[in-house]
Amino acid sequence: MRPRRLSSMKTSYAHDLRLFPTAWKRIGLVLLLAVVVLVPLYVKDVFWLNLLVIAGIYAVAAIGLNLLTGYAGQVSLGTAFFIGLGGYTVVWFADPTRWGWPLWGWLPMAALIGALVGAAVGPIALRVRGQYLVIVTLGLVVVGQYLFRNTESVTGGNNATIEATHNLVAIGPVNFADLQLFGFVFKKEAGFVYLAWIVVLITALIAKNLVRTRPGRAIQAIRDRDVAAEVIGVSLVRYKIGAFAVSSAMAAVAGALLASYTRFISVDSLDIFLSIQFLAIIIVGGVGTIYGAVLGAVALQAIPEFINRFSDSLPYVATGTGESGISVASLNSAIFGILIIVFLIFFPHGLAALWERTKAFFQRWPYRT
Amino acid sequence: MSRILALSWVISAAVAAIAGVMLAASPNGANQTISLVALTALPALILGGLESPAGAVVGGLIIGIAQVMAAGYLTQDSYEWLGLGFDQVMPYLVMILVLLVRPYGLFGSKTVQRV
Repeated sequence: MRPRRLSSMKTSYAHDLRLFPTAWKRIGLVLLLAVVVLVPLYVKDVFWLNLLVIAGIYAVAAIGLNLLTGYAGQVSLGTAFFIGLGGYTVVWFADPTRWGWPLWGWLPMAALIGALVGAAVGPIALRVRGQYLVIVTLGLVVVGQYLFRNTESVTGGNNATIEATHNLVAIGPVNFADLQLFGFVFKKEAGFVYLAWIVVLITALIAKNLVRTRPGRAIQAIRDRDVAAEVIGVSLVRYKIGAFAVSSAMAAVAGALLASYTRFISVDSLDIFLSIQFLAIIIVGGVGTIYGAVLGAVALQAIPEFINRFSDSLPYVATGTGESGISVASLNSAIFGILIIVFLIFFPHGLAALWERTKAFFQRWPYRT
Repeated sequence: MSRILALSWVISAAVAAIAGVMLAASPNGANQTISLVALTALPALILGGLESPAGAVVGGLIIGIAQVMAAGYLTQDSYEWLGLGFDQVMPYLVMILVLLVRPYGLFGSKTVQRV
């Protein structure tokens, strides 16, 4: 019998550098692309489209957080703050009553602002580590909410709305809010599916390229032992601040997309629980993998939406006010909490590792590992 | 090992429950938002330093007094530019400033890094 080659074994440096090292990962990518391209063409139900859009937007921020937490080892609860930054960038730069910039203006602007503020926050991580850093980034969210609330002339106050304009999300002739392609007329949600997932692809490509080359090896060395990394010549200043900047830029881009999609942003939604939701996404998806962040975003976005939709047929779930039973929102937060605990205990490397383990089991068949 | 871990959870839960009883006896009474107090307990803990019980007491005093002073004095008219809810932010600002000077809190022990 011909010996099978283990996909996890790297035989050369070039092999290690490949974007999609196994056939299954290529198939997975093609399947994901097929779903994202075909669903808006044939599905007219806003429920599914909305699910895909939000999952895509969350995946962008989750990839960023995974770079920072999964690869660089800096656990951060500050995601909500950077999502808010991106959202208010749209309010300030894209609202027609303010500057009225088009998509190609405000989206890079959100990334730039996110990166700059992230780089400004990064030095804290040089001084403070571990649990102390977690609480400091938690403080960032609280301070951010306070700032957003009180700089009303910039942010529009507690509940900012963005005027609907024709060209808010348009690049040249392609308007994602009113998309017409090859005779297909798309809804606003369907157009946004394309916009969100194009951004996911670009973000994932940037992240993948970062982690498989020199910066990626540097931040993983920092994660494993920052003092040791410094001894072998990794600049902590450059890579810790760099990780914060890149991660914050991705969160800000996600926030900008979210604000342009809902055309509404509220300070109260940018709280600690939003940040915890992103930690849940990368824990469930798989800490330290790029596709894990995407998987986690889709899975954790699907659960609350499904509960919302099928709450009529679930027992003990109150659908309206005055009904007895647990409310949909409390059920969701309970499920998030349970998922974090279950995954941390039983599947500490998330959905991504679940897949790797199943694959390894069949590759080594009939030998047990 | 596992007995000690279990015991530390028992003590921590019991102490937290006592804090909960006292909060429930306060004018606001017991409601779901009481659990959010835990979020303001974190700056106090971190400010004092993680390994030090005395630090937790000192940190709690500093954070509590700073927050109530901010709520009392900084809401007067001459401080209007501070805006709404500054007392909510006060604990975190104090904590961040202290941590930048002393990264392991006021009484925390500096961990020795082995490579």
